[in-house]
Amino acid sequence: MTRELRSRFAVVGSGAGGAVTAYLLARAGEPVVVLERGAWVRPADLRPDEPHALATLYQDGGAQLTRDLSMTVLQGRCVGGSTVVSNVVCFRMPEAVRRRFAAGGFELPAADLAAAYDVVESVLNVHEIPADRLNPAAERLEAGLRALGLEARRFRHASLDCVGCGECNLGCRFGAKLDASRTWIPMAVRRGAVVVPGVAVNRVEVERGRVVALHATDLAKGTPVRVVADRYVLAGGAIATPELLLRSGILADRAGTRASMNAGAMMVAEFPAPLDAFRGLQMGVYHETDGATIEQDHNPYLSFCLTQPVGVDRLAAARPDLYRHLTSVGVLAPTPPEGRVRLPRLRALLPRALDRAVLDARLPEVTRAAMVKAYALLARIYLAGGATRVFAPTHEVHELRRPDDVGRLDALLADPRAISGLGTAHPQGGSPIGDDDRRDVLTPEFRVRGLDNCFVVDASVFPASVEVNPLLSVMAVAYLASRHVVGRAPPAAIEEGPAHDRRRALGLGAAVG
Amino acid sequence: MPERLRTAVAFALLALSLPLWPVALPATALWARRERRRRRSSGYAVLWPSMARTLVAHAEAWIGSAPPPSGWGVYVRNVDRYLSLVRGPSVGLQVALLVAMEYAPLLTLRGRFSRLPLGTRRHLLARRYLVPGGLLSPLAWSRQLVRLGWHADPETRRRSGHAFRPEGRERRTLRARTATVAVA
Ligand SMILES: Cc1cc2nc3c(=O)[nH]c(=O)nc-3n(C[C@H](O)[C@H](O)[C@H](O)COP(=O)(O)OP(=O)(O)OC[C@H]3O[C@@H](n4cnc5c(N)ncnc54)[C@H](O)[C@@H]3O)c2cc1C
Repeated sequence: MTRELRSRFAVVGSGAGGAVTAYLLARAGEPVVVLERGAWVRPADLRPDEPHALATLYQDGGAQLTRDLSMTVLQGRCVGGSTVVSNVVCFRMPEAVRRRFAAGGFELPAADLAAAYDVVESVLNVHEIPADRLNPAAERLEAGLRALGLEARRFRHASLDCVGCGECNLGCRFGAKLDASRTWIPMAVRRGAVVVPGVAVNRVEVERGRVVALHATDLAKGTPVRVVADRYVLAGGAIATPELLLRSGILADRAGTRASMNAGAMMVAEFPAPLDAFRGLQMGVYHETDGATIEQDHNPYLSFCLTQPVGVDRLAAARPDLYRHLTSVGVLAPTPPEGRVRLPRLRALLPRALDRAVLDARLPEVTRAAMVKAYALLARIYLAGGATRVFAPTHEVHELRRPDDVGRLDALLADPRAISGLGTAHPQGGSPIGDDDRRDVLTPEFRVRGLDNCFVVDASVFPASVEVNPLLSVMAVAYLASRHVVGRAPPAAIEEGPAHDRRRALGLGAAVG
Repeated sequence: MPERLRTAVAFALLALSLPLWPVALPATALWARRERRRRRSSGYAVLWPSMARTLVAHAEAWIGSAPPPSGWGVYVRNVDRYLSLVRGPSVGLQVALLVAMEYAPLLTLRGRFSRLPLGTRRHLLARRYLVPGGLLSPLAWSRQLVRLGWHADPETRRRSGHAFRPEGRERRTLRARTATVAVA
């Protein structure tokens, strides 16, 4: 039998965009139901078991691939979305990106955007990572950067009482990471929002220019669920939201277009003495360079091994303690919005399990070139920081032992498919906002063109990559979108959530924000 | 025989055998059913017993011919456990991938992967799977399942020197440190 859920607002997806929207709706006194296909995982449910975390917290068990299988696309699949498995390092959108968006009709006035970031950062307790939470490789990296006269910057991240365990990507079992499941979601629930985990929305039903219902499945029981609301907010992320539009036959000519990402892959290096880089936060320092960012990122054990060149597994099998000497740093570069989210061809012939949208994207030459330049710089940084050998980010082992070896990277990485572990955790676009009625999926008011009562608020709204780690921007933009979605201006300050509670307990009261 | 010629001949044979496919398909379906039934008795949740052989053959070729510290059984069970926990379509894809991994060498006029000598398997991975844009390059993804099974072995992890942290006393000490509260 079909279960029916009714509310004034229905939000699909509980990640960065959906969670903020749900909170703002609940705060405005609006009844809201949030539908999330993943499970609701509390810190006590989490354990240091990587295969379990990959399988249960990530979309497709962390094995979501682009259409030609050349890149992995990591996304979270649980209450809180990707923020739960994120490293919560926080960046504001670069001014050049804001202006480019504005030129295409996606206006984010500078002062409003800055105020939105202030409010979101106060809820997430965004602060520079303290030195005692860094992992030991940060010091080597800083030394290398200093030796080359380059700037080493410390990430800002969203946490409270972080113990620096180095397992952010497994979900925070200490409850210290201030992801959406620790902030916006419980804040929304406290104000009356209803969160329904384990329900996947499959289709949007439209009648005469209005959404009249969502058709979903209760994944545990395999039974249908119908959701009826006055207004609908799609916040399933950069692949699922365009997929939902395509599946529902909404703007099928353009839904899924202008998909972009920050593409990246790790470069691994070995140091003479054991580093034990797992002792501390995965991400500590970074360096911005031309067209790419060099970001320290020492993954948890299994993910680290999954992203190193395969030849390193062979070396480590013969010399098990090699791992203690290794660390990794990622190079991250934005792609132009040339990708597309597509449904499979010949869908009717496919079993249901295989009938799913994929991101059709390759690494464009401009991004590859920027990445290779950044890898060359990173190899020099590593060597200047004392590394004995740097492994080129290729499938097989190619060692760079002296600065003179670095030039080999051009040839080794001439073909983007030669880059090992290439992928993204930052897919964006697919439901771009803009002022072009024939090109853009969303109006500048976040409304799906042609539908009165349907909005999109997630990373899919970006008409191009935000070029930095996007979590904070998705939340800030969701905060600004509330003017249109909720129908009124968002609150000037938000004084609730774990960070505010702590400030209050410390007597810092309303001095925040 | 040169690699290209091998592939060309394999495809020619495949095309020539087209009329036999209607017979082969029901036979394949029967074989798949039998494998699924045997799965139950072997105690796997997702893997078919023949896939265990494929996985071991791939691990020997990708990583090393000696088994991981806890043995091949634990390695295969690690993969099975992971696949059994994943929700969504990728499980079907990964199982299909395992079947493809086993039979793909037929496209180069060789036998099934798990029956090939180690040297030939390594040669195939290096020359066929890891070549960007190569015919079999999508199958290079197999290394991720192999590495997952291998490194998920707690004993492999322990020997590498990795320890999940902080536990016990260290956890309490870290907890006691002053929290950072951002104040604008
Ligand atoms: C491993 C990892 C690390 C990251 N680290 C950082 C970082 O340090 N800093 C940073 O800025 N960014 C980081 N990101 C990226 C950041 O988390 C995302 O950009 C951001 O969360 C995107 O927000 P979103 O609302 O678009 O989607 P998500 O946060 O992905 O949320 C979408 C949610 O919708 C659900 N959903 C989708 N479709 C449906 C459906 N049909 N029915 C029901 N539910 C559905 C999904 O299960 C998911 O929970 C990271 C991402 C990953 C994967």
